[in-house]
Amino acid sequence: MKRPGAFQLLLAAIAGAIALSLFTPTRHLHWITDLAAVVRLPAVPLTHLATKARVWLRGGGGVQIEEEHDLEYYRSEMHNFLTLYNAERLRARSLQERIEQLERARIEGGDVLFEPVIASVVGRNTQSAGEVYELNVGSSKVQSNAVAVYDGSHLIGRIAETNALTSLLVPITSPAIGPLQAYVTPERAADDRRMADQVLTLLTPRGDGTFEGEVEHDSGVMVRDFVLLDDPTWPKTGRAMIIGRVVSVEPKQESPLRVHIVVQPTYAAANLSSVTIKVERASTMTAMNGGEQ
Amino acid sequence: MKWSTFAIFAFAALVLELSLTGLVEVASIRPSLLALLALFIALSAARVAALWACFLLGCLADLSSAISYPPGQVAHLLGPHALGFTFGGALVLQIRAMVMRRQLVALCVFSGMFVATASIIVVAVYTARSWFPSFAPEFAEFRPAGELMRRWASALYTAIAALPVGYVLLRWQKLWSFQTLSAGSTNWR
Repeated sequence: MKRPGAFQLLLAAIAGAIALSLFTPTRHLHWITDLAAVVRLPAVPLTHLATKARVWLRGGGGVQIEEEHDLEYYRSEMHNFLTLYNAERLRARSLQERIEQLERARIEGGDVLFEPVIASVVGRNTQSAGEVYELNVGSSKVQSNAVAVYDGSHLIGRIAETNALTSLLVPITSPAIGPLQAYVTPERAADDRRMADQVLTLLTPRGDGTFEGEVEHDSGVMVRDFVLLDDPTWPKTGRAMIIGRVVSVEPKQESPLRVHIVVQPTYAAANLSSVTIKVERASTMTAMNGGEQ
Repeated sequence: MKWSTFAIFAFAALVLELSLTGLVEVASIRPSLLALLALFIALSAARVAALWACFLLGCLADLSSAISYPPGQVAHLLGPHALGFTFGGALVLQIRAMVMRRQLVALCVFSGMFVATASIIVVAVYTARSWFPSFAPEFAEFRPAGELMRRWASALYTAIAALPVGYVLLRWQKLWSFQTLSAGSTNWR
């Protein structure tokens, strides 16, 4: 029987060491993420080009839900105003809470200054099931947990990890993001029929690019209603950003007082070549407090 | 085997895998070009070179596969694909003498087998880590059967993708300067 050569022994030794390292706690494996960033770095210019080509070939843009293409611009503007309007509503609600709870000197809410940073999608993970996208902006421009949006008001995901030159984005549709607190609002802000109360819901990613949740049966939620983020665990820059639209409302057999809703994001991260990162800056709390005083 | 050629092809496979495979993705299932390249080398190169190439391509696959977990965190693991590809390569080395290895059909069949075998190792590692959710939170809700099914579907897809990709690789085989097979010798070093 032939004895193994030096290179075979070396390979076996390295493989053995790696096998042992697989049983190291994840918190001690941060260096692998840095190593991955270094290894992928030379590929970034080419993957950037190839990603643009992929988006171009796929048609890019968002998922159209029975809408006419020539209304794209007006629809986008309407979404932006809807976001602004609802952000103000949230701010008003927040201020009301502040009046009621005077002992809390500084509470969450209010305007947040942010700097928009355009980031190109330069790659995505290859073998794992969970979606993770690589962006061409590093820690000098964005910070972990920053919110990524598209078209100004459509929530795409959040930054999970930043390196010197690149960062990793986890889309909201990834189960890794976990449940999202949100509320449903009618398609038209002027629709007063159902604007009296915000219909709160907890959205859970289904793993197929959509979310599911439950609302009260008499809440009046309808197909095409917007679902906006209102999750205190998310950065304030993500407040009232559009998660998606209701595409299905069905009664729950097991609990007749609630209905099951399915929400589909307008834009899928897989179809985008760039996103906007909302990098939070100093809060405007000082200005707000000054105004109130 | 020319390692410079290997570096160029590995780089190209990494770029394509990071970007363009999304074009042909079906229900989150994509072909693995890195695995296809590893299989191609395992079928043609000398034993030690083939094992090293499989190991290095597996490392590339690991470093390009971020694992996301709640609450929106990301981790990388170096090892599952490296070990899986090496194991798959070792398996191919044992049985490659029985087939006409430089035929497109062989490449298709073996690529499916290679990815399926590597998947077992990868899922085994993930499963082992999922037993310790306190230090491996990324696999706290890991479902081995579902992941294995997804990866086997990817193996099937890789076998289909081996038709066009394998054709290109076989056409450019001269660039690699693989050692030719001498009569009666299949396990050359």
